[in-house]
Amino acid sequence: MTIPSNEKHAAAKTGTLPLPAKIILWILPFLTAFLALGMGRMGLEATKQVLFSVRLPRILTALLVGAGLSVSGCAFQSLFANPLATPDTLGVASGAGFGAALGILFGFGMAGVQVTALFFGLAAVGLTYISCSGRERNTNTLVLAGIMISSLFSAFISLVKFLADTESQLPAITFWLMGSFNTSGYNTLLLGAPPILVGILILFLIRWRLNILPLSDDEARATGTNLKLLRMVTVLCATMITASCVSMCGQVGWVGLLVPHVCRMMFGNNHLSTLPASISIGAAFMVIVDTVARSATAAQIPISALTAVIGAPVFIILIRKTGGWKL
Amino acid sequence: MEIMILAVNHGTFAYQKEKEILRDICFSAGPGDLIAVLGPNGSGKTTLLRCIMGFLKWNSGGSFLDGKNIRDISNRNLWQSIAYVPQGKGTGISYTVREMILLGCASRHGFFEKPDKEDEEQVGRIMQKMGLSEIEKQKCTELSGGQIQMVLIARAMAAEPDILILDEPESNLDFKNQLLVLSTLKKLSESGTACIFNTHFPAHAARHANKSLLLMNDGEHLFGKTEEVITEENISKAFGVRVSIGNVNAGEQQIPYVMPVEVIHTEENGSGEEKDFKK
Repeated sequence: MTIPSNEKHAAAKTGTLPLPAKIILWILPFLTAFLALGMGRMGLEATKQVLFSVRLPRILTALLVGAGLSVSGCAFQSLFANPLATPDTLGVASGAGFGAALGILFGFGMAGVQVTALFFGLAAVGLTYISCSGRERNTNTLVLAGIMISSLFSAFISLVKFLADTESQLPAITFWLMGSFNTSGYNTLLLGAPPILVGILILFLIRWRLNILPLSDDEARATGTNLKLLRMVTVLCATMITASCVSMCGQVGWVGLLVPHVCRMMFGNNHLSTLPASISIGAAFMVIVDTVARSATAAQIPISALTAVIGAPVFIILIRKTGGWKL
Repeated sequence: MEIMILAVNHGTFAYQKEKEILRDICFSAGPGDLIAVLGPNGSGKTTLLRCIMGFLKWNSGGSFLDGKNIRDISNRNLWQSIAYVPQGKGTGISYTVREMILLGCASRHGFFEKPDKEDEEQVGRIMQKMGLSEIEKQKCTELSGGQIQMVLIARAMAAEPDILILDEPESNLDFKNQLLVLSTLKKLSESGTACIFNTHFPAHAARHANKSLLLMNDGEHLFGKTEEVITEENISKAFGVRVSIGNVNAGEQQIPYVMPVEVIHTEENGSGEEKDFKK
């Protein structure tokens, strides 16, 4: 039984996307962004103004948020070995929502709201992490703690809403929580983009290691990986990304669940291919959704309503097809 | 290749302070060794393996690789010398066979690195050797128990270890797959990789392993050549079952058997349960 024919096996590298798919995934976000730039009402004289100071930053934000939420969803699904994990599993979105509501209540400006949202998003995950650090930490207790902290901050949001001025503040809070790219400009990008970009870059670089996370603890350690470090980096990056996304455009649901799922169905579970695909498809998806949100009707439709309307049915189909529990 | 020896010196472990489950364990494994770890349920077989690899900390004593305590060896170096094969059941992650085996190469790479061409070629060779090439694109969730076990062994071998540690590799498998797995282990040990495996079957140890480690429920243990450890007296003592050991002539081969005869009723062992049962 000695057949040393290496060439036969050296052919395809595992997890590498086929070239056509690669090209499509590279072009997709740019193409949608370019098309989105041309969509919508355009007064003749103010065209340039509208395109570059209003629409372009908005599209850039949508690209970043879509890619970011998808990647962190992808990472969390791997971390918890559970396909139903979302970027919000550890409570970051509720925390950031509370921060933003608080900022609006105290009358902070746009930048102020963004900072408080970012801060409380990170703080919520910190709390989650601390609250289950007593005994040996496993990912299930982490999820449970996340649910608790998440509901705690949701309660805080209700309290803030209760205290808010019903004429101006309450609608602002409500609208913000529904998610919108309406307020995005270059200044919000300046603060929001770096954490997202850094997070995506790190997760992209460790994408092969992410394959190790769903294994049992002993198995994962036996691959010579520093499991604690790997988990920490994953949580930190995903949290940073999500908090920053929420701080820029409010709570955008479903993207972090839906896009990685679609990518897993198309390209398998190997993160060497699924993670880059999530970046591309997530970015394109968000731009499309936002374009519909701002140009379908005279008023702007809240983003999370749209993503849910698209997301829920697609997700139900996915669950029925895959059984919903296998990673 | 340098010769790598794994030794456990005076290893003692207890989950709770008073009750030592493993006491003063001493044994070593070198090239060519195929060591079976035997013992009744609850005697600490899996605990022993976890202690050897450092997943659990010995209360006293330690595991040594070429005289160096494994606690002082870096993660990456350690797992290039030792590889671990978990129990095949419950591996429900739908990676393809190739992707799964490729993960075994991770110990050779840094945190940010990806598998390279050499890894791919090596995985290809291992799959061919173990007869897995045909299923390389299948998902692990769709495999039979025997196939899963072979994939997990292949994954461990991808790290090119000197020592392979397996947790009940042949439980949950049918006759044929048990033979397949055990003869694979035999081949691996003959080609220089020391193998240590847990098993519920004394007969498997008697047939394949050159050395055996027998754990008793009271924390005592026996280690030595298989034929010296697996005797009617020792097995009876360890398992509380009267056994008959002998050989079966199968063509040119002489195959040992270990046949359980009856449960031994003593004061501390068995009789209590029996009484409860009668009530």
